[in-house]
Amino acid sequence: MSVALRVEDLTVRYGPGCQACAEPTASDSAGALCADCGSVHGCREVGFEVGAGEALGIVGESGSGKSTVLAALNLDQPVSGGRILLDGDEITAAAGSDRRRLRAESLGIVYQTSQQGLDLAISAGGNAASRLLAVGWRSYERVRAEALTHHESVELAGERLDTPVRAFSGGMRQRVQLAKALISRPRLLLLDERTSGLDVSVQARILDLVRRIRRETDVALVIVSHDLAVIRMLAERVLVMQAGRVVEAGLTDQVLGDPQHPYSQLLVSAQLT
Amino acid sequence: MNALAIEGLRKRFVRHLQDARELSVLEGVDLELQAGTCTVLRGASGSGKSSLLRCVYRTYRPDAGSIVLRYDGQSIDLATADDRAVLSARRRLVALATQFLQITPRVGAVDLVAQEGLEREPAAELLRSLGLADELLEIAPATFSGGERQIVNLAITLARPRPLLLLDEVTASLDPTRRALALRALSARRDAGGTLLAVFHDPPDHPGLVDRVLEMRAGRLVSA
Repeated sequence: MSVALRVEDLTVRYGPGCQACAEPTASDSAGALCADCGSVHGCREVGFEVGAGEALGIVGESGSGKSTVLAALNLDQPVSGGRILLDGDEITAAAGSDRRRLRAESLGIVYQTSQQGLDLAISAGGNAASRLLAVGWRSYERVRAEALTHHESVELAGERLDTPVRAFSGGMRQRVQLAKALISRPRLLLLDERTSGLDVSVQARILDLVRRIRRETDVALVIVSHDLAVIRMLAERVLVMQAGRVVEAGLTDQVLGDPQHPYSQLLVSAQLT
Repeated sequence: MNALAIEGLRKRFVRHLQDARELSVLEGVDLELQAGTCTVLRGASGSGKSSLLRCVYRTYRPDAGSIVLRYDGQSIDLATADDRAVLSARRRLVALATQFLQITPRVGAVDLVAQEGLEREPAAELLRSLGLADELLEIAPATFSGGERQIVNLAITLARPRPLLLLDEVTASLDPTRRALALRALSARRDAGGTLLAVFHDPPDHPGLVDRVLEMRAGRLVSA
């Protein structure tokens, strides 16, 4: 299986950093703040691979670094160290037009909040189409047809294509984000799947859509969630993060059924069954 | 040639939330299975039967020993293979069925089975052959009874011709008629060269299905 995404020693640090917080054992459990220089590590030395068609989950409590990793992968967040390779090409420091093209073509993201991912003042179709326009599509008919196809593929009614996103419910906005993410047929789909604000039937529909996308494309998927049941359903492998570090990585059923690290055991034992 | 050779398999849990208390569940298991045979494990609750199946499937991470699965002139040690090699083995070589079905919202029974790589019609036929009522075929199993879920679970397990089937109480919730259908399907798989390692609460009464019965006691296999 070809490796779509390879992440090596990914570190995001806010602040200057110093010798103390560069120690490999620094802030193992006490949080990510360095007592010496005041720097905070969003994540440190995170490494993993995701093959084409594979899904990797990332779990951990709030502040553990899950979203920092996702932001770095989407090139939203500059990194302090490490490398990100997409299909073998390093994209870690992509800037300017390279970065714009990667984000419009190769990366797709569904943010936790629709305000991050969408322009609420413009239509659902306009939001999705913006990615095609960014990579040079010019024919109005083709752009519109493609937007409609993806709009309907996430189970939104075609006649709502021209409705401003502001008029959509939370669950619908999440599907608009998904349509926007998928319209350029990305290599890597990033999902901040903290759907706890949605009612369960809406969440079930999103999960079902993501499962269908996995069957129908060979997109590599990285999913962040608090919800171990969501990860179990969507991802065959999982990373457990705590205080910016990966403390355990393994097959999802193994990490949930036989967690090795104390923190993983705490997470699993806290899960409602 | 054996299909599966387990040697010196050990598994213990370290419960970090309880003062790192250790719980040993497998204390050196040796077991060889021939292709085309059905081996039944029995023993008291907590004797390690399910843990053994889960170690072979790698839901549990073994602490020591080897679990060598042979297929098409190749072999893989499931105790030490990396995660992606295990995933690949699960797709092609080994299935684990428990008495519980992981519920997938919104996906009908036929589609759940078809997602294993079957066309819809053979998937429906497989479910019917295990005794699922026609009117349930298109319904998501979230509303099914325990027995109906178990039928779906078994159909998912049998959908692909994986050579090694690990079966943990897969007929526990079935009525006698459907239990017979399930055992007949397992027997057919065995006759077609499949290797079955199964835990049954009650000994399966299908004539000729079981080749060997082994007993587990406190994490070890003892001859029955």
